[in-house]
Amino acid sequence: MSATVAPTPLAAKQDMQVYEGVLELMGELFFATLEPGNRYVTKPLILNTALYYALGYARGSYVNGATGRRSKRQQPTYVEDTAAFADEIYVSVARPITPLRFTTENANARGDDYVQRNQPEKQMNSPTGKIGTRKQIQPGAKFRFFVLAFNGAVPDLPVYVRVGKKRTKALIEWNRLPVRRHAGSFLMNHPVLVDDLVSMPIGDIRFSRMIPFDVIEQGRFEGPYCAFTCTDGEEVCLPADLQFLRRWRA
Amino acid sequence: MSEDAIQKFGATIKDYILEKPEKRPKNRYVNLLVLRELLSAARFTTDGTEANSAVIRIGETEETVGKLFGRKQVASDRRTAKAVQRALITDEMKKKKADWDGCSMEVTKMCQKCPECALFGSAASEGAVSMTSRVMYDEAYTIRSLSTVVEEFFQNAPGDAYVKNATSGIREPDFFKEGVLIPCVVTLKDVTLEEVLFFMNITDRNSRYGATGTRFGKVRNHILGVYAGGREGPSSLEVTREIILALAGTSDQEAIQKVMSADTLDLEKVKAAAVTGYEDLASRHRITSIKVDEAATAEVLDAIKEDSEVASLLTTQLGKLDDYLDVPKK
Ligand SMILES: [Zn+2]
Repeated sequence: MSATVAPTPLAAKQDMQVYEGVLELMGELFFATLEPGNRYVTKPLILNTALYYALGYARGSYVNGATGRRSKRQQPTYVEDTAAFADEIYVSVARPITPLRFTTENANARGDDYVQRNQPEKQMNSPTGKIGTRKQIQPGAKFRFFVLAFNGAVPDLPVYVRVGKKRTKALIEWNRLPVRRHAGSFLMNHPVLVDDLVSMPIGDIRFSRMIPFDVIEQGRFEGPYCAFTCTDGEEVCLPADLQFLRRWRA
Repeated sequence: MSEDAIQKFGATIKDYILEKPEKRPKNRYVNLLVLRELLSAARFTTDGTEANSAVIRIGETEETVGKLFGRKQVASDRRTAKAVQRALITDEMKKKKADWDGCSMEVTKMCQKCPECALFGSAASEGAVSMTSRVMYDEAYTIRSLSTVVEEFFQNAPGDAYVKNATSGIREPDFFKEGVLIPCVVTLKDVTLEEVLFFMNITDRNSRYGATGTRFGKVRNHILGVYAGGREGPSSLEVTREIILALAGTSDQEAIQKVMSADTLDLEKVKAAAVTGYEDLASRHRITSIKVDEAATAEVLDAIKEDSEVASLLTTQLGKLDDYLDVPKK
């Protein structure tokens, strides 16, 4: 299996379906990818890298050799794992649509994972491998993301998925939205990975540094785009030529 | 007789289990609906003092309830599972690994050779292999509100006997009171029949979910049903909500508050509401599954209650793990 796929500009594809997924947390959500103390912890996004696996569009392996730290070296796995769907399905990043409640917990103060001891011993139970606090999002929070399907692809739309470092269960409510196709100047107002874009925004940019991929939350673009109205009435515009990690497939 | 119950069980869920563990995930789910009942007071805290809690929404009502973290459930079940292995298959394990002497609970020091490690996973060890758990727990919530299920204790300074506040005495850890009921959904993914049976046996025999080595946290796990299918099932949180609504009989705020502040709840009513709630949620979300109900589940548990039965299924499972645990070098 090849690790690279020739990118097809999605704009060239005629048929497009948009599914809105509203994801509700059934437990506390925690990402190890956000640094403790990092201010982005307060503005959480669920990256599409996680959603591809959660939705079953990418499959990992239960047993793995050590990958070491999360680093650029892991990126080719995402590309490979999603090769079969890259031309047919695009999943956006998910962003919160309800106010979030947080709890902060000492990541390593007391061993309540597997070992119970009175004195904490180095980094036994810290999922980040660090001693610090983890800020977690409380259950009930809702996030929204989109699945775009091209050329008649029928994506599986599971109701329950697992997200985050602790594989928190989440409930997804799906709705198919009518899509309008346009071209010209538009404001993208839903987050996507920088690496999914053909070109960078020309203005009005809002950017979040995330690990392992940075996110553009908002930006003005010129070109083909799709627009749709969410179930809560919000209008969303996305570039029509998005492709998951397209910069890595070239 | 006992063979029959297991065979029947295996035949019922056969489309949603594997003959042998496989490295690539498939969509085969065995969901267990469990009601954990505290038989003695338990401490579920993270900071050592305050009871774990969460705010949940039931209809239009928001209420703070007690919480049992998924990882507390994992830790407790794993301790039991590893103890059972050590007691029952040490000789078998030594054939695989001469120096095997039980399997550690320390995250990065697990043996990665035993059925328990294969099922519950393990982080990278010196061998630098990591295994993803095929058992997934939900965070679980009490049916009644936090203030109803938790008791706070203070060691008062001399002379302060009647003053109850945080500054006048030393706060002791909060207790979840005896009788507290916690509905839990646990999902086994891509497992063998032996692994389902092992997990059920562990759930049945595990009676400790609080801190170890104390008289606290004695729990009885009622397995209310096994639901096998191509999808993961409803969550613990939703089942808790459904139970509250069913007991209240309406989504009226006052009726909900009454249920959530009740001194006790009727175990049988809660069990019935949990089953109905889980199944209603599944059908609302168009999730189909094969069901093995509480009575049939009890027959299966009965068939594996002897240690010799568990030893034999663990030995069978051990024989199925060679390919799964073999990791090609990078
Ligand atoms: Zn082991």
